[in-house]
Amino acid sequence: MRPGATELLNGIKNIIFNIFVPELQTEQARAQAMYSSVLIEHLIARWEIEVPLLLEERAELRPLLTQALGVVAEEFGLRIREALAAAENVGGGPKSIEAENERMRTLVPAIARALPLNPATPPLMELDAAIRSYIRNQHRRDEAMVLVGGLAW
Amino acid sequence: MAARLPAAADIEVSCLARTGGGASRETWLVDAEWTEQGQRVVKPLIIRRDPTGSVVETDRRTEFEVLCAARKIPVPVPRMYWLEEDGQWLDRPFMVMERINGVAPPVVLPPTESEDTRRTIAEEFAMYLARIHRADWRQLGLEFLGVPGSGEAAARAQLQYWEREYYRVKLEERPVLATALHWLANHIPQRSEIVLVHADYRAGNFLYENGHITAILDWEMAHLGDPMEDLAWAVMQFWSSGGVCQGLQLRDEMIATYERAGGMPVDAERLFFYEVLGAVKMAVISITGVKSFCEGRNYEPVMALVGFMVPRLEADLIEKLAI
Repeated sequence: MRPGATELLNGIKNIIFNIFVPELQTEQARAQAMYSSVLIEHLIARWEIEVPLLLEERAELRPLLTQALGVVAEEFGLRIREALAAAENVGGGPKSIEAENERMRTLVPAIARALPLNPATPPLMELDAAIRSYIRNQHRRDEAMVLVGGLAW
Repeated sequence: MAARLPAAADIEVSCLARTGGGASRETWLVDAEWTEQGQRVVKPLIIRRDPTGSVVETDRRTEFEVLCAARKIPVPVPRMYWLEEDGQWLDRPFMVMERINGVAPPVVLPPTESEDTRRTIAEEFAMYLARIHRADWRQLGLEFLGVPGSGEAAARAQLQYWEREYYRVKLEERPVLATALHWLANHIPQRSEIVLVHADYRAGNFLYENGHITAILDWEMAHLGDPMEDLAWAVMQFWSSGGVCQGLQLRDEMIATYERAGGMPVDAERLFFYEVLGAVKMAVISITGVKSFCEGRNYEPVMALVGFMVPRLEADLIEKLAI
């Protein structure tokens, strides 16, 4: 039996809050300690949602890039295929999923820039709509990631 | 101080304390006393020291010289005493300036302030911005900031600067910011007056006391450019609470107050361009802080916390650009 990550982080937060803060002599030091405990509180809440959100993004990026393969110029083809192939072999930890998502994500703005400003054919229009949908969804995931643990920016 | 004040004797410094503000440079309060020509001189001072990692990486000499020049505009700015670029004294470069009484609102003017205070400060806020924009920057010797050949050149220079910064500091791809940068490149305004732009004109960067603004601070991003850049920054959604910009006025009221105070003519298209650029700029500033934190150059928690603001800025961009 041992404490899990959440219990350890909770413990550290309480040590900062209940033991360090009352001993600190300056306003600046107290502020730093309080902000640190806010960060830990955020980390505790994020622990539960980070991997599901990363997996959700990956599940959206792969069909988006596959859709782009048939539409955009061949210059992107190789990079898209490499990114998709790498995503096949990713491990289960958040760092590795994040790295693979990032590899696919960096292609999205490049593909968007390559599209005409006002796409006219159905495949281009559908790809444009899919990119916008991904961008909005990714933003929603980003918001979900930061708005936990009492961080209400 | 002894090196800078050869005629001074019995120099004493006391009450050194760091203030919570100043994410771009460390801000320290200190009281200094010395004897000069038989008189005891007492000066409350501010020391602005370079941090180990920051949210904006700007040239401190530019900030110092702009502040010296800004003393000649009728706006309240602190007197600058010394710029020390050598790190031998306090480990890192710093500048020393007069300490002016007043408090800085955290982000917006607190709702607890009276309506009279809010109205007076809103009018002074607009008036000082108009005066900055109407200042004769050639007479002030500010050509060293770089003179854009046109409004288009000014806009392009700012866009290129923040785009370059984005690609320099980004830790991950941000599709909303990339989309906004692409939009901006396709919507550069063509014409504008060229004025002195404060470039961070907002509630957190002035001091007030007894219902009046006592100092306009944080000139480190000042440059010559389009006056709409400052106005757009001031009315930007990000600094609004309940639709009230800076806790002072509704957006349209703030724009009208600026025009009434003698500001430059307001152009809605340029204002919109600079509001989009402003949101990108604030996001890049935030990411710069996060990068400092992630690279271990500055472990102050605020450097991590500023990153949490980026999705809110991106939400404004999604709405504005109908992404």
